[in-house]
Amino acid sequence: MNATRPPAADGTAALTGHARAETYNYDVVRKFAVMTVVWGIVGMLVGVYIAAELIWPDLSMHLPWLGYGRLRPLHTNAVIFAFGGCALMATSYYVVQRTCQTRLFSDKLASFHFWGWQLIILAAAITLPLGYTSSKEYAELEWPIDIAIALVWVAYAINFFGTLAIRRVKHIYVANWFYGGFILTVALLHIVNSAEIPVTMWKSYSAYAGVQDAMVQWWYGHNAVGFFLTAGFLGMMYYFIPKQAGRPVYSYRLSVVHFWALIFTYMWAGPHHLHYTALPDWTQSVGMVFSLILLAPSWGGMINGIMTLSGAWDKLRTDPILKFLVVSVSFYGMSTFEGPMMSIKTVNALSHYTDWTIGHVHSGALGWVAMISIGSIYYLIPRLFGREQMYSVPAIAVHFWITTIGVVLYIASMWIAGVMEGLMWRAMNADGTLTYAFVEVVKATYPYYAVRLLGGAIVLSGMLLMAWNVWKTIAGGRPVEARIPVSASAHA
Amino acid sequence: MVILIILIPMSVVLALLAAGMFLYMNRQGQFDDLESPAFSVIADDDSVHADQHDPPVA
Amino acid sequence: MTTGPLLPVTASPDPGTGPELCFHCAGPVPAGERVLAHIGGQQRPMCCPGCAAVANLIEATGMAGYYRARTAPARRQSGEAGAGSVAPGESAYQAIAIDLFDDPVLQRAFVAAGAPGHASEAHLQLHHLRCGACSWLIEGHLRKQPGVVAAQVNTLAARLVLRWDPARTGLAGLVQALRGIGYDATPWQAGAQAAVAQGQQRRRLAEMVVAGLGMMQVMMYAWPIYIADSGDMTAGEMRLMNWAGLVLTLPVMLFSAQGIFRNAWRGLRARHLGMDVPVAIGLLAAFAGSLFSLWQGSGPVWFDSVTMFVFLLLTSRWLEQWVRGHALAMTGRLAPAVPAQALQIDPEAHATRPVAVVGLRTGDRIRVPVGEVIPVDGRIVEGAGPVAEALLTGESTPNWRGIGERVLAGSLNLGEVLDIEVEAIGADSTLARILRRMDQAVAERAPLAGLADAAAARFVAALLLITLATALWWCWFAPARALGITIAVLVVSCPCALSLAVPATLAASTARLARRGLLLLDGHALETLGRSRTFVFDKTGTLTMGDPRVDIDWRGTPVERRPLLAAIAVALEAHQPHPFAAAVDKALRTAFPVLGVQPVERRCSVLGQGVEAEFHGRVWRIGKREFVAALCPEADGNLAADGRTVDAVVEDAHSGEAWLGSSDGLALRFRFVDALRPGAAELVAGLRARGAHVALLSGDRPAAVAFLARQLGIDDARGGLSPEDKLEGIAALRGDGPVVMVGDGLNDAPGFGAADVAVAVGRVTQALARGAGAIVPDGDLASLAAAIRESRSALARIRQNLAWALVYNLCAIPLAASGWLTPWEAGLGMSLSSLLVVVNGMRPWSS
Repeated sequence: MNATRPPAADGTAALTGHARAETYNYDVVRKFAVMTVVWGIVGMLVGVYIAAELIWPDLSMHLPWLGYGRLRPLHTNAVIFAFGGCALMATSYYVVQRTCQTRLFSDKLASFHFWGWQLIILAAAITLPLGYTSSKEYAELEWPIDIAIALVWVAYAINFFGTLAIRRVKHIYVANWFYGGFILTVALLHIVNSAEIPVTMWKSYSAYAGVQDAMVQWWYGHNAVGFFLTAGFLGMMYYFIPKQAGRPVYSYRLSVVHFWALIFTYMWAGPHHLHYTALPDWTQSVGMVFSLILLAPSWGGMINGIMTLSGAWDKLRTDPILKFLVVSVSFYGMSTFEGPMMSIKTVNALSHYTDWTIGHVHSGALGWVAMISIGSIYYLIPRLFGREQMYSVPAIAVHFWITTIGVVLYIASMWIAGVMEGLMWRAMNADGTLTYAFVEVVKATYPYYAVRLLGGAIVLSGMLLMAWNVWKTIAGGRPVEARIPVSASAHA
Repeated sequence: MVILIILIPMSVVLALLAAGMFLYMNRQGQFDDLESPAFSVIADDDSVHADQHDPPVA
Repeated sequence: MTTGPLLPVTASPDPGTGPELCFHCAGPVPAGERVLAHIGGQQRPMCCPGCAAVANLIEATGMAGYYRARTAPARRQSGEAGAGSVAPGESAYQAIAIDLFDDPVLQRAFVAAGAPGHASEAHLQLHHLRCGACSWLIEGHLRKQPGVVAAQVNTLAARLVLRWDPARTGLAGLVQALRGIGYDATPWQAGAQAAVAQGQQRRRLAEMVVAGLGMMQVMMYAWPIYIADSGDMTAGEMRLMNWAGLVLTLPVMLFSAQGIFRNAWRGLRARHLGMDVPVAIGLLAAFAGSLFSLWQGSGPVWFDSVTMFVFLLLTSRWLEQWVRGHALAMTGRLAPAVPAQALQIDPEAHATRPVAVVGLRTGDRIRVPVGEVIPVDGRIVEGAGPVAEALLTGESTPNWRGIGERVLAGSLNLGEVLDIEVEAIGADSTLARILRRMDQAVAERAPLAGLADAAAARFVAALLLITLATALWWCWFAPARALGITIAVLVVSCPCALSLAVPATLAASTARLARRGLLLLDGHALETLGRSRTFVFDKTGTLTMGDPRVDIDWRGTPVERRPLLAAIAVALEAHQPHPFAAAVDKALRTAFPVLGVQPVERRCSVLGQGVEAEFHGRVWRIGKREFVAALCPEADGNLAADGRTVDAVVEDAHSGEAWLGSSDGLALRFRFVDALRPGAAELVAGLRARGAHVALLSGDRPAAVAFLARQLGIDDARGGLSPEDKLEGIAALRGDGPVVMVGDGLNDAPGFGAADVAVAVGRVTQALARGAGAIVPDGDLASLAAAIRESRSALARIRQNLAWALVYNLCAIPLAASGWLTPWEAGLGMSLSSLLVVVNGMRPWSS
């Protein structure tokens, strides 16, 4: 692995077929970045719609494909894999090229990756409302789509690691470690969890049975949170916060230690999703213990991200993109504290199956994942389309406040509703009968559902504002072909 | 918990792979200097003003 | 949205006020003609064409990102002489003729030549590095040069490892490229060792990380067994977990713990019981016992204890090593650099040519131009003049050196061209010997550490006996528990406070002292500094600067007459070697910056009296009062009557005065004030506040000594002492415990020998010859005060650690021997205890 390679590193030239090795591949980044906004709106719109259904059940108009049960997986898939996925793919392709100072390993694979991923999302948007589901949470898609995901993901992995291999900089920047960990682990998780036996074109059975299936499902489910929704976005954090703040990472050493600690400790936290189930007790306890241990590396990352701003706090006042990025890291810290707490068995006895869990997930998904993605996309769009900045910077500031208010409304309402549900469910009369019937609890949560809908709608409106801003920026700019700096290319 | 027969060996293999990856990268000198790489990212100019940009493609 | 503004790095947050600053070096931009450079799409102000050239090159090669990333401004490209002009914390150095970098003789010292067709590797010391962004700029710029394979900068130590293809480019060209962007490099001769050290560092890191990975993973397999209720886990599941644990323990035992086993084995063969012996026995016993249990299908398994123990132990050691490496890097960076090139005199051709210093032999003659650093130890064969050991001491008072006298490598030639016959070069030079001693003081174990090690050996011997007794006892009464308990005893005991924490404490303190400007030359200096209650100071050059500052007494001189008198004084004193002359010159030039040297006639200097010369036809004298007054006897009394005589005590405190006068009488008085060294008052006050006995023993006039003592509040002040008196004084004081002698190493040789530890302020060379235990090269006594606080704190931390170790072992060993601790609890206890003492040993002093 030499520090310098000849320019037009053979791989690039051979695969692209023409002499474009001098520029970065911004094309694929642009496509993924724009689709991040599109899928963000779609996913959140579905979320708002099903939140409304919880208040006005007739909203589904008795059409099966508009029912809550079918649209809820569509919402989760759309926001996690379409919105979050596209954001990760856009940023990872950008970061790996810029930090390795080389063009992507293969433009064709990149193109295949983009179109393949969009088709998969489209397939999900069609099959899920039609009721085709493998019924595994966050992995509902049926086997043909699972295979497509595996193929596209392998293309992604080859392209990403191929780019690392042809890098022109000796050191691999820490963000790439996080992206790489995310890509490899998600591939493994997906393949193991989606092992299934097809019976028809749109029906399959899991390769695992009963509690084994539950164990694999949550081994997958929690590690998907850990590697898709955490490691990948940490990669984003370690690139875009320093870049936007114009300051190096607070402690680069800590960021590397943070990565390896996360990698070494994550794998076994899954069983905390299955407290008080048929899963053996010891497995549940192990899940709890390792969820608690995870707090240390998680907070290491949070502190590193926030402290990067030390000495540049004033920028936070004026720069709305930095606000997005930094507040997202704060939400990351909050939800990685809340998560381990909720994995404690006694706390879990109260919180499990209540809306508290929904609130926790959204503080991670909206507060952390969405806000850091939005910040990063605002960073990228002008650079990709040859504009000095977004069409309207004040609109970014408005978007920031809209999102923050929406997220806080959402989390707070769900938190109160969840604790109330937990307490009402377990309340008992002196004679041992339950104090509240289930429907009474549902009635009690009604106002909080309304607040949640409001919060969600506010967040969605922010996304619409973003779409307008992105549209105007793109309309006033033209796609950029960024040349790889001379410093990278060695003399032939 | 039959599934452990798959999950545990798999995590052992993963751990060994991670260790191998670390050892390989350590030997390449990836962890010798954990200070200046933080600067190289900031120094990379990706703004639209950067001279390395071609005029926008039509 | 640009990522960050391209702004000059300035101290002032608001660049709008104050003068315009150079974008490159943040120096003020002179008024008048503006120099601009086109950086990052904008015209930026530059202070000089030099900065502009560098900035333009950085921009042209696409490295303008440097300006975004840096946290400190770059070096100013003009107005600084090459050598000696350095930022604080950086050593002075001598630039090398560019062609010499390709000289195979010079290259021998710092280049590892590759096989034909392969890259060569050079180790270079960098100069003018300001922040991490500089490293980035240098690496990026060099990598762009044709033929460069790799370039890596260590920012902390300011060192560069450069690999290049000699078939495609010469090293000289690469250094030239470096100079083009405003940096410079000199050979770093210890580079080869550093490469070895880096290999060891990587290896240690790998061992620690593998152990860490093993610990975390094995813990995951061990925990379920601990927390499962009986019957909750099937026997099969437990075996699966244990086998997985074994697979991940193997690399830890075979790879990570290798060093521990090797140390133990070496210790046993050398009949020295280090702390690794019980650790190794414990590890082997626990591992073998676990293997046996696993094989049998029942019994305790301790893989988690093994891996955790190895990891935490290696972590403590890694920390200790890291601190030590840091201390070495700090001292190395502070040391002055000797030029690697010299001008050799060719006896036949009567000409000089630049050669590599390493290629010189004893007896060769070299020429040292004015203003350059002397590259070798040698004897002057031609020329004479002031030579400053400035690079060695940070003090600029030069010493006059004439033919036949010795000069040392690293000193600065201030006077005239000197021809020198080489006596010692490189590693044999005095400077190299100082550096070696500094390195040794850091790298070698201090006596305190050796003592601790010996105590640890006794501790280990006792421990092994206890273990044996425990094993026999349990074999007799409960054989099934014997192995577990024996392992627990071996593992729980912790001699770390002795063998690990003491060196870590000393290394951490040494590094902190080096950062604050005090270099330790003796292993025991730190300990003695911390323990001493008696501090003896010399006066001149120690508590005072020893470098007289001139106070011009302008009273009674009309303003319009002052420039003339100043010009006359400067003219008379021009080219005089006396240090007072230089001081007078400096003071006058400070008062009148535009003063030129006017010609005088018939100058003659009277030894010990002064100088006489004719200035515009009139005879002037400068020098002693009597000497000057002799020009006009009747005027003498007039001046005294002016009432200019100041308080007699103050008069005494000054070491002297000089007058300027003509036949009209005395015109101007210069008083030489020997100023207090920075930090002297605070140091003495601090020592007294802590109840230390402070004594001032000086050979100077008693009145001057008394005056200074009153100023500083020293009760025990004795003046007019002969060296023998000093010796006796110190010997008497030693009755009350160890004595620290603080001197400048010049006037107090006997004192240095008599004290328990001698601290030299300023002059390094003499200090070394006199056997100083520590030096404060920049003469800032605040460093010494900090050092004393640090030393006390270090001893306090060591005492705390020893107390902790005593309590811990007294509790833990009986607990383990009586079977109350499982091996993993024992391992955790020991590891945490060792981490605790190491971290406690390293923590900065607090007060």
